[in-house]
Amino acid sequence: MRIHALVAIGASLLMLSGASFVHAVKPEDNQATREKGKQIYEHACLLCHGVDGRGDGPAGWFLSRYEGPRPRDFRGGSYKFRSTPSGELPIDQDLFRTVTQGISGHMPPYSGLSEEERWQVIAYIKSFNQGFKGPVSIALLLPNPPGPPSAAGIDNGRTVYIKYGCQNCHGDNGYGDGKEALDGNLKDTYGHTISPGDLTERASFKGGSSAQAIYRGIMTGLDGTPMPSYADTIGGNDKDVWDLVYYILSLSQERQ
Amino acid sequence: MTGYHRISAQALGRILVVVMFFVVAGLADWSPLLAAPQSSSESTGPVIVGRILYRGPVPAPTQLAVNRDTDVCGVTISTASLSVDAGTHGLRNAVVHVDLAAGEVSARIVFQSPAVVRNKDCRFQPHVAAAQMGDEVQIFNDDPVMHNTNIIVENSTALNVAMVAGGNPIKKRLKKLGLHLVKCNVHKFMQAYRVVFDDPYFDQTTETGQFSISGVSPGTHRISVWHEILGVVEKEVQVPARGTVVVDLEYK
Amino acid sequence: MFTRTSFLVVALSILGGALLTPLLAPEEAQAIPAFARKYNTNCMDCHTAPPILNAFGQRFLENGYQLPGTEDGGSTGKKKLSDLNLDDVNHYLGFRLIGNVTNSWRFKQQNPPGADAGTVENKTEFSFPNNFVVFAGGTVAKNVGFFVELGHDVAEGGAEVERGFVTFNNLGYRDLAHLRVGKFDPNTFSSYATVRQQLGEIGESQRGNCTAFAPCAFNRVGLAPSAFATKFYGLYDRSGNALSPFAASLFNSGAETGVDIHGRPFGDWFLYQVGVLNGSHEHLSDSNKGKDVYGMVRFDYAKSNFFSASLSGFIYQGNSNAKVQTEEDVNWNRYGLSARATYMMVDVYAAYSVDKINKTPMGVAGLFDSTATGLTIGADTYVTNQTLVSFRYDNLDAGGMLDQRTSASFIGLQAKHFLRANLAIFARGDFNLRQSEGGETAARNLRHAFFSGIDVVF
Ligand SMILES: [Cu+2]
Repeated sequence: MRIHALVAIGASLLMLSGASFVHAVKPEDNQATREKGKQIYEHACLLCHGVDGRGDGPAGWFLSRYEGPRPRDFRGGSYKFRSTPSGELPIDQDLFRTVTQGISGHMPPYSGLSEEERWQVIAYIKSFNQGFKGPVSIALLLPNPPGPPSAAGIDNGRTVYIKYGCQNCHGDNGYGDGKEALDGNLKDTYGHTISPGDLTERASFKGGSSAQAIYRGIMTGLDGTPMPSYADTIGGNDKDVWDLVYYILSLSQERQ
Repeated sequence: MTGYHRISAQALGRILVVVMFFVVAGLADWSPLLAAPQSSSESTGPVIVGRILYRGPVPAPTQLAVNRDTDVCGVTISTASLSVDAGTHGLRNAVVHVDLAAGEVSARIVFQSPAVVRNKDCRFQPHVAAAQMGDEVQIFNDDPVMHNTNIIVENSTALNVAMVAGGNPIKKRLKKLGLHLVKCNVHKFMQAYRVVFDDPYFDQTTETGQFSISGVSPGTHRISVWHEILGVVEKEVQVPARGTVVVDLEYK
Repeated sequence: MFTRTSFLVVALSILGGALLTPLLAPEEAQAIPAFARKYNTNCMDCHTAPPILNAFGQRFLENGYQLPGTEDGGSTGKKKLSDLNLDDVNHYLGFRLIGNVTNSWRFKQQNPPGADAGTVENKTEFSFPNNFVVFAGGTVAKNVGFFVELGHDVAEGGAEVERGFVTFNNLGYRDLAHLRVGKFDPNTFSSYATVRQQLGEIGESQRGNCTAFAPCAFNRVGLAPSAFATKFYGLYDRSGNALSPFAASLFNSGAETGVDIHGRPFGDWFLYQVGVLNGSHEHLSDSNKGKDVYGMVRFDYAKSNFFSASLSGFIYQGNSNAKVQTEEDVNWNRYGLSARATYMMVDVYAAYSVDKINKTPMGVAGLFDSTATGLTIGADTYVTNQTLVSFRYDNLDAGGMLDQRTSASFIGLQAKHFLRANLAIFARGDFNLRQSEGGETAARNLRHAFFSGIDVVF
């Protein structure tokens, strides 16, 4: 409870500081906004996510065919890319980020929509899930990296990689060829086989390949997949997580 | 100037909203406490007792091969999903629930002990349990290996937390209704169930298949029983104003 | 293991290709891996099975290579350098290498044609690669797109611009009108797009040294979808070259020069397309005559349940676009319907067209059937995540000179295995259903054909 309160204070302070300029673009979530969002949705999103947001659009099956992941089911499905604890809905900024950046290898980036259009379509997407009408989920505090990567830190990151069981799925060298993956044991919550990210290829980092994005993925987990949230179990052992992040980044080369 | 005024009004509104939201968020977890009416009527109300029976064939426990951490988990894991008492034919680990009558609102909220999920010897313990919405789920890892506890409700993740060896236990509120499938993705043979209701009219059968549910309002109710292998059976029951009604259900 | 075997196959085939002359017409190329790079996504966002588009890919194409619902041609993936908006080269450049490693034909060789009963020949050739295509497609600015395809025909040598056009999109308001100018495939937006097929066209073998405006016999017919084919025996271009009844033409020609407009002004359920072209076989000097015009409408259902369906109808009005052997001009028209339904792993499509010569010229009156029809039914299904099985049925009720015309029916089957999303090997068999009807024509003499090859896009 105390941690939650702290996080809430942090989040609300952040919201306050950002309030004036966020307001400039983000329209109020009302009927008119959702109506505009619906029109955008029907052109840009429906063909994969379906008319009712079930992730069963006419083009959706081909993304992974008999396997997963399928397009997101907006009605009840879990959201992978969040800054909120496991099992919770994402905050608006999470949705905005996904719409803008797309999902590497799966969904194209919709940065071609204006910011206002993106907020409109997000308002419409949220209307598929009653959960968004409840209290807004509280984002985990996602700090900036404590400092640049160090050799000792990366060495420790390797130890953490094993301790956290990353190799079980992502493989000993991060190629996404861990035992559970090779044995076909990794399923999403719909029972479709999915493959873990290849940590040696930044283009396959679905939630983004920045240090913060990787940190976020480890802390929140990817709901709907076997990737768990580490935020609670490691309880404030931030240094280990950042070492792990830098170790993971050291497995792939920077490309332009 | 007008623009300035408008923005500041909005900022004020925003502060108000944040504060309110804060208060609401703070209350949310404790709402069972505040809203809990007294449960003094329990002693005088009717009690439903009974037994869940199964006379069919009971397969021998299956031995699942362990594919990692054999030093901790052992080489095989024995699973007995169907546990029946030989003498009474009573079925263990069935979850019995008395449905509310149409339009009826749950008369009371009780405090269950926290719903515990213990990762121990590469099993989830207990294997089956029932709980009430809002109860706290506490997850522990007693093993020296890493597990994860991935709780799935109807195609969505209710909670998926890593359980690093020696890491902190997890304490969360149960926020979803229905059948919770509990899995570990590190050890695919680890599987358990939690059933979550939004009222307290449930029980879980003992080794001899017995259950007891009290506090239900008089009238016609439907009793539904869930078992992980045998599925669901249902039965209508007349509940008197007071006293005990005995109901046995059998999986055919 | 697979990779090593494929390398071996490729190496052998290139060697074989250098030694033996492939007889096949170039396969068409339309898959654009560059877009996957540009949007950092997967081929399967847009394709059911490359090169066939799914509903999303179709809307992307219609929108001038911009994401459906956006006008992102000037922004996504671009580098902004002062007033320049540039894509990285790899965001619009793509390559496709496709070819049959093995062509195996079983047909009755007639030498000279019609002179004797002939002998049944089995002919197997190595011919990889048949075709190497470089293409560039993308956007130069908001609502301005382009596509250029440079085909290198390994058989003939030399490179040629197969298609090349510029698009101006979302004229007026969004989806009202999209303009294409250049050399393009008219049948791009209908339910059954000519060049986007699993079992593509396989060219015929025509006798050389044919005299102008005289019948020219085939050793072997081509295997083009009948609905798109010429269908007439005894039609000639303006230079007197015999038009193959089995080659794609008119609305379905694959590349013509002209202007066309399409759009969805009333919402996603309806699409229109109208265009003007120099005319059929314009590279063979038809363009000095009147222009050909066409129109197409398409009705769509694409909402949910992994299901989509569409129905299209088109009219193509030719204008002195062919001649008969008396060197008289004819107006050769086509009226067609096509339909497609896609549900999860199954994709079924069909096209039916009626070709009409609007009046029989005096010189061939009574000798010439001025109506011909073609039917093509196709289906693809994924049997595993990587394996696609395809089927095609063709029936061509030929028209034209009564003494030459021969109808044909074929069934084709293909299994294609995607080693990676952009690397596939395939094996295909085509069977002549009317071989037993006999007669000394190529359409009857072909027994069956077998092809195996490789398809790489990168
Ligand atoms: Cu485990």
